[in-house]
Amino acid sequence: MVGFELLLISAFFSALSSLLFALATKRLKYAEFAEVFLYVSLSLCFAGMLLLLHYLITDNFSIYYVYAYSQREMGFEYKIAALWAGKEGSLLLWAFASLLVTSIFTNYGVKDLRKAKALTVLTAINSFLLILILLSNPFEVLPFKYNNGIGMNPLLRTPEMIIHPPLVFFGYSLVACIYAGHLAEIENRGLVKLAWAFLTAGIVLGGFWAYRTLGWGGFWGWDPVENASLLPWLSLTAYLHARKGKEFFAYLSMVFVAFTAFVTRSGILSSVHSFGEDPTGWIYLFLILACSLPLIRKWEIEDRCYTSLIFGAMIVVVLLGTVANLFRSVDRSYYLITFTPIFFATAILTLYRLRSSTKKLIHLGVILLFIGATSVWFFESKETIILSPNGEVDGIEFYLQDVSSHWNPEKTVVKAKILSSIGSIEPEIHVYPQSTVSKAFILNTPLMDYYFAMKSAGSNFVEIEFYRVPLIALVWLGSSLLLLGLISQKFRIRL
Amino acid sequence: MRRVALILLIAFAGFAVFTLYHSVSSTLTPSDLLNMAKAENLVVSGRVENLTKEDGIVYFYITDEKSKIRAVYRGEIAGEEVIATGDWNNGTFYVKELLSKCHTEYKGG
Repeated sequence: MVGFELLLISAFFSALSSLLFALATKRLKYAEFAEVFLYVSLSLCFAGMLLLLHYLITDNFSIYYVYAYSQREMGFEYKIAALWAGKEGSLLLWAFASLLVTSIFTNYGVKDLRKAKALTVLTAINSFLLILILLSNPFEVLPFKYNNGIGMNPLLRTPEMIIHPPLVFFGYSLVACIYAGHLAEIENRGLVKLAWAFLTAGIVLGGFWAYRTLGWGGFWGWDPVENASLLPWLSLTAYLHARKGKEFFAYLSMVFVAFTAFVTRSGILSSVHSFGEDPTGWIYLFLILACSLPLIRKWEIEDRCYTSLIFGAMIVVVLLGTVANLFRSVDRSYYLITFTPIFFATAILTLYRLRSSTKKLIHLGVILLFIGATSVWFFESKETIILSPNGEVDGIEFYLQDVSSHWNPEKTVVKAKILSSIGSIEPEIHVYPQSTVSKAFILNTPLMDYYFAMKSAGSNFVEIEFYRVPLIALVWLGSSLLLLGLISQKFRIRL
Repeated sequence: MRRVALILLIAFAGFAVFTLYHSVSSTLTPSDLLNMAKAENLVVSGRVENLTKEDGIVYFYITDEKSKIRAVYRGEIAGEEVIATGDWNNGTFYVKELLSKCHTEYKGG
């Protein structure tokens, strides 16, 4: 039970640090002690994370978390990813990211009374996260030791699982810094851009992951959790465009981060991402309320600024849909009818500004993203084809050459080799003890992706879901330009 | 200008609410379905149980822990929790589209 004690002491020092930073807003001398306690808390949390990682790598199935999310046969990289594959582990990652970002923020800029005020809030948020981890203890020991674990959900055994969650949680931690900073009247545009970059990268990678996974509704399925994660991004984007009233968007971004955590972890809604019912998930309502307090201020809409209005409208659409999803199922048509016109207005406005803007790459990215996303949402087509061994769809001929299978300790892979007039296609089905996962095969062309997912297979037949996804390449190109544009700004690269 | 912006935003919010009102449908549980005779295009969420497969067709049950319904689907089912769209007829749910939850293991201990 060393791990639990590490986290317990970490939470204690974090709370103590918060208390001392609060005192330091009156007498700065307390800040030195508070800072030391913050580093102690960070070190202990990191030690706890390393210990859990050690248990995962060494297959210690006497720990419930290891039993539930790891397996002997899983690759080394997925044993690392299992660290944040579970509710408790992902919370631990978030707490660690938050503590690390807080520590860096402490040493960034002047250490004055305003900084102490911001750190009071940040360390309070860290303490809140650490206490939540203690409530769901990732170090719970089983009464007996299993020989093997259940393993991570096979759908998550992809390289994206290694990168996506850390990006998102570091993004959320940076949003907390922006929030606390504004409360203490510290404004740092660089920090906002960094948070925006993390959230953008997280969302784009998540979209790419969902696109490659059959049954997750494509690159953007308007799933409530996807929507909830879009809200802080939209709010930060509005912040970057606003000249007045930035505080509002800074506070709103943090409220949306808390809202995302609530939607994802409370089990209140049915979503492809929802994390199951968890009573502690409702505690996030408290975080939402606490973070909302500064929002009770006057919202200044700038004169002649259409951008705030456009992002405000996007937030309204996504928030309404997500909240409605708490009670009812929302049809995708709602988002297409309401979001597409705003998206279109954004693209037009961006095109207009493209000539004069110094942020050409980012704005070009927005336009490409708009064209790509709308063409996918409106013109994607899907057909089911059965090859035994021949088949044809709209003049494209297919021939099933071979169905083979090979076994390894983790899974059995069934692979079809199909020849066609557009190229060779090799979709797979991965059969795990827990479930079966269809691994899509995608033929990329600049104008169209041909997407093949095997639904079932026999010795001389296969059933394939065949999607034609027009201009999806523009979604990835546009998204990449958003990030590239930001990086080029950061390093003053003239383009 | 500020007033115009606010009016525009409120008007758009009204449009969004109107669209939303016409775009929502209930996500049902297996217990809800058992109280219905026959219906089309329903969205049902629940846990998958007793899955068997024959000639590419998957036969299974969807349960909400209180009750369970028989379901049929042509395709693969990954994961234990699903959100399925389909038709309810003669005590069987004929699934047309199926989404698998990606984080079903987030059950916690």
